[in-house]
Amino acid sequence: MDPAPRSFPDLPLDEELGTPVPFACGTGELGAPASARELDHRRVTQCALSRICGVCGSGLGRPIAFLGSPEEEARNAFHFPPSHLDCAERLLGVYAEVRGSVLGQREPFDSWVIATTGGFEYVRPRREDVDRRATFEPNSLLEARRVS
Amino acid sequence: MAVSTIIPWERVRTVGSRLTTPLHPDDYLSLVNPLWSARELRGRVEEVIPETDDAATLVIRPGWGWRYNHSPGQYVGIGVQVEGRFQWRSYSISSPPKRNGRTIAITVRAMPEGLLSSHLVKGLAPGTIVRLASPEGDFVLPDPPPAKILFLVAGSGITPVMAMLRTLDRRGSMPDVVMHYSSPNAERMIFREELDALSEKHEGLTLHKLHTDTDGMLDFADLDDFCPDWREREVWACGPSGMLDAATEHWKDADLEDQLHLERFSLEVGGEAEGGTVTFQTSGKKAEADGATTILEAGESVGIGMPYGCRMGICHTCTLTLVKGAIKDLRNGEEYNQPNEQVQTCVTAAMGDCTFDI
Amino acid sequence: MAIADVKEYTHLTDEEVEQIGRELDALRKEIEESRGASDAEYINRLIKIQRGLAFAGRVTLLLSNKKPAWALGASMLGIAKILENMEIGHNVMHGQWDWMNDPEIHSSNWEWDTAQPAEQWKHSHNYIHHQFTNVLGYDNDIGYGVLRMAREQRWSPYYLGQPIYNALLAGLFQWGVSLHDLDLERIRKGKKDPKEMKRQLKQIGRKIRGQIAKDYVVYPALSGPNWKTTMTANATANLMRNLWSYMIIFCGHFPDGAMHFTEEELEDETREEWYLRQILGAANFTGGPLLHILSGNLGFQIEHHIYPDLPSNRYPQIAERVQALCQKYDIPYTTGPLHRQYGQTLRTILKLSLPNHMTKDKNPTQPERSDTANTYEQDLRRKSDAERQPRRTELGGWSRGGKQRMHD
Repeated sequence: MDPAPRSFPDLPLDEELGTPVPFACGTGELGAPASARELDHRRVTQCALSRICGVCGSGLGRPIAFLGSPEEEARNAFHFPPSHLDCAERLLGVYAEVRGSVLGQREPFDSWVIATTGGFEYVRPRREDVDRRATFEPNSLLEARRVS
Repeated sequence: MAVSTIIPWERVRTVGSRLTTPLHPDDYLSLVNPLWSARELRGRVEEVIPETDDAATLVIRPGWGWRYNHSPGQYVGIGVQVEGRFQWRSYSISSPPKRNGRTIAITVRAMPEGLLSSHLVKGLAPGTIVRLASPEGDFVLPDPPPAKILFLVAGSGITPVMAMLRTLDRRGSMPDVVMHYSSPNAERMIFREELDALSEKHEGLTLHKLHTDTDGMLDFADLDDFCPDWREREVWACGPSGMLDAATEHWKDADLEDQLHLERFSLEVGGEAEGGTVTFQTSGKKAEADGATTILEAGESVGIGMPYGCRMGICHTCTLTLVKGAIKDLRNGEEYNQPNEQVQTCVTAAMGDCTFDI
Repeated sequence: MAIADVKEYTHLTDEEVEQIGRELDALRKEIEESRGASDAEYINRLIKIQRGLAFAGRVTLLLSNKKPAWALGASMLGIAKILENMEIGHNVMHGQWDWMNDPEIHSSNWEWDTAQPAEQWKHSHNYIHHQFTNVLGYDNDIGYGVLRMAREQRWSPYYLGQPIYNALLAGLFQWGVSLHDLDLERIRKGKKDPKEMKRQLKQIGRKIRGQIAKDYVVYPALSGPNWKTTMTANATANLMRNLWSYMIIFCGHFPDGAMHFTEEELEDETREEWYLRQILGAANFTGGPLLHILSGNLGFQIEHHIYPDLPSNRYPQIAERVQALCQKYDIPYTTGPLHRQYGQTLRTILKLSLPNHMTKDKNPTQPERSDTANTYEQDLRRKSDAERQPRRTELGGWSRGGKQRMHD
């Protein structure tokens, strides 16, 4: 049973990577260990609709932060759900050095981006979309910061 | 009863909130006069004074909750509603801190690609209500000032330094100041008349102007030409990032990094407080916190449902009452130690033992 | 009678479904891009009016011993509560106004003037209801755990009392809503996490304390000798809001045209199919602009379900386009005058209080179907968040509001 919300230090650890698994990545199948590589689409939806943080699961504050790749920033479409700025920065602090795809990212890239915004649109995938995941489009962007 | 009582406004408003719950009395008061609310800092634009073609000074009258104690060189966040949306930027405050003044002044230069700055310079009508974020910034002149100062400014970077110069002038404490000011041309040089007047008035103030359109940009190798004793001066620099990067390198090479103070707009949590025991009086819980742990984090670590919003000191959702003790703002070192003072918890840390009303 | 596959039900081809999705997406982008100063002005003006009404109501009620003042004050207060509950609070918490980046009108911190804490509402409404709209066994709003509103729900003698429960729920609606996220049915079946329940109860307790104190202690006390009449006036205002919101909300998904869906529909549901389920699962009602504002624009329930987070003042404009789209593809679009929609709802409540064999299954005219949805008497056990999609069994979590001062 996975209680939420959970503060950052209490997040379960990914067995393979040894890093904390954010709320949006779920807790793995019955019996399976938690994994920080893929996003759990139910949790992503829940974050979007209940307006809770994808890292710790508690209510969003302001500003709302999105953590993603430079390409996601360019397209203004993020896959990782909205988070507290503090949570996003802490997550980044842990994952900046991790190799391979994590937190739902599929392609490698140089530097993470943290974008902050006042609000966002939740966009579900269309049938013709190759990428079957929902995305988030910030609609009142405050700042997009590259963190290498 | 011959006891004079000052009505504690905070208390009145707390009691008032029982009438307005779940809203706050400010939510009603602000409908009458927008400035009557401390829930979100606000101000009214009183005057827009054009300085040059593309720069203007905004005189703003802040509403409740504003503390008139900014240090010269600090900056304030301004939020303006453009087409329904609030846009935020930071601008340096160009007015010196005044005890009885009720307004602050910020000087803005319109950037051609800058959505908000153009709007502020050309489109903002007096009477407009803007949102404000408390002054912050580590670009601050100490009091008393150092004996020898070098100001390196370019373009709108003059603004925080202008506040500093005006303060030094008003306090009569102008030391030996060399100022180097770059601007594309004479017409676009803001405050040029005032600067000329100041340098006339003060023996110690030497002004160097550079018009980059005609004479190119400042090369730090030429520093010795107009300021041979630059190594002995405390330096404040504000301008485009290219210039600041070059300055940082130059001072680093000379091993004098500590003397260079740059204008930064990000939130760096610097400085440490001492730490101590934080007591949360309603639940009786206590947390041992060190000087780098914020009160918010301390409360969360012992399971208190601390309110929070942006967690970086802008939105004031985390504000609680400091019953007793002292805390320090990690961004600018400011101390809070008045009993029953309203303080933000997300950017402050304990300085000794303290107690909070939650 | 419950639909297992929207595409089959509506006899649409793959291309048509895709096209519908595209058109709805394009409409969405259009509205998003045109949001601007006049929309911001709308919500700000509305908030000003609502707070003005509340203030005027409270002041008038200081003289509540005079009958005209009592009536006027109670009405103003009642309308203020209705506006805050429906057009303002519900919509702000959906994030409809987050685009303004205004910290005072934002889904992250809005707390509304009713017994339920905002955070629990956002979970049970924004997530559970809007994601799993009208899916039997997943959407807790089908009957609210108290009423039997679908033939597929198993009948028991308890439901004979349905008309009474309905009346009670109507009068005490805000209290029913406040307990909604607790999910009483799961508590009864022993499936609720006790720690979570305790936390939620505490949160509810705090909210209720403030609300009760305000309406039944503080304001009566302020009116001095008129305390009794002020209390009755406040109770009346609350009742007004309860009855009105109950009626409007029940008209959203219970009139005859609003369909239910089975679990199978959720499997691999695409965005376009989600749109279709929202259209088929909701019902509108007609009326003038004032009625729509007072009902939180939920007379455009279909449009609200397609675009829950677009500003509500745009729903009338959106409705014209959605109606045209439905006509083009022969998708049933349920609407009618308010009294008829509510009449059908009431009829269903009465009908389903009896076992199925005693009443006729009156379906709205629909095309022939070949889906396997007609399995009656299913045991639709209450699910936790985790069980809502098949094949996943972790328990989901609930949100924690920033402004809630909670002690563990």
